Amino acid sequence: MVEVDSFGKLELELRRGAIVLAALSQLRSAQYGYSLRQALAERGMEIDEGTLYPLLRRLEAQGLLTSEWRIESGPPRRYYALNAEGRKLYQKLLKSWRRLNAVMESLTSEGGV
Amino acid sequence: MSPQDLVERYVQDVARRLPHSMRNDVATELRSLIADGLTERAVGRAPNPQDASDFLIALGSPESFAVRYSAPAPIIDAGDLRMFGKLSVGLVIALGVLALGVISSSPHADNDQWRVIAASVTQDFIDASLKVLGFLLVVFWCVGIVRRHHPHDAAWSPKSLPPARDPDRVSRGAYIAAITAWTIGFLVLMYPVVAFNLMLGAHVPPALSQLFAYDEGFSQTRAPVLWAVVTASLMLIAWVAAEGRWRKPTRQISVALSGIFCLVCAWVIVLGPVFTAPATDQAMKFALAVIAGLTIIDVWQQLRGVAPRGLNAPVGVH
Repeated sequence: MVEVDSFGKLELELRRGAIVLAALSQLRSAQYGYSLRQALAERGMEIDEGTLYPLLRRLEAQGLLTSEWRIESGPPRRYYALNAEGRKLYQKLLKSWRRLNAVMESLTSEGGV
Repeated sequence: MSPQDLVERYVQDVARRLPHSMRNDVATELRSLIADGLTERAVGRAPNPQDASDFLIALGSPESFAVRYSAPAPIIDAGDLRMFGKLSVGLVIALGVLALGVISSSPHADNDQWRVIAASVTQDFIDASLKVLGFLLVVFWCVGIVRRHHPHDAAWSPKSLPPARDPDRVSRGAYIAAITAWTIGFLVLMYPVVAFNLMLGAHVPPALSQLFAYDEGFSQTRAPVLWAVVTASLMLIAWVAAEGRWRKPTRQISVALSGIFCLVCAWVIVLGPVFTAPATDQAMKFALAVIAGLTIIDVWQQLRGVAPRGLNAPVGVH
């Protein structure tokens, strides 16, 4: 039981930062909340709606995304996309992620686990 | 209830928890996102109430969902929690001891009158505790806001760190100054009227003398014990100042004396009046209660800190 709880908490910590990067990666082209979730899920990154939708608003409030309402087929939808600031930050985060990934790969392969 | 009704209730409950500026926008977006999600779940059919209920449960309660729209800002910063806890507990204990003292020493004709006094003082204790806790909460909250708006990290440098200190070493000058101040304060407390005579040139107004006249019962029974414990504590501090550092035996004696002091304070407060005048009596009891509350916290910290202090002490100290 303790092991399961610890795994859940630690996995949540591990995913927290990755979720932001994952979302930014799919916002190079405009997406609305549901389509973004679908795009991430298709690539193996399942994110709860309750986490993803507020995250988009927070990223917009931080000045990384622009948004606009569009009415195409179905109800009006709010589309989000990276703005210039967001694109710059995404590239920086991506580099940082790749470095970290390489370091982690090296660390975990040395351990032989 | 139809799925639409259920969704609308959820959306409105989320929206009312958000700032006015974003309510309508988020509500419209949330309706469309939930509609998309429900359509996905109910493949080839109209969503039923169970689909809507399952979907909303997966989103989380309106409260937790709304909270995620803003970056969390703590009411009390994590670094301040211990201090907040100590101050809250210390002050509430002090107020509690004071309330007990007032209840036990209030003059009453019979049990019914005593019950009325007890109920009234208890209510005052609850009110005062809530006010104190509320005040502390506001103070710590403001401190947190100021700290977040004016972070010192940019200006911080390791050079500004205070020198590492030996927790057992004492400053003789500071200790002697403190002992002098405490001794003078202690003498004034023991002989208030004599002190006023010295300060005012033997022209002490009778009202002032009456205000600081000790209760006879206190003078005969409790005062000698209280003065003895305080004197012993002052002598211990003087001994530590002479040695220039705390050692294990002096720490142990200090903890024991502090514990005895707390018990004696409680005894003094609860068993009857200290001064004959109610105003000075209650002020004195409150002061004793605060000192006893802070002393309890100090004892608790010292007892908890025995092992780490020993482990961290410089080599050759003990």
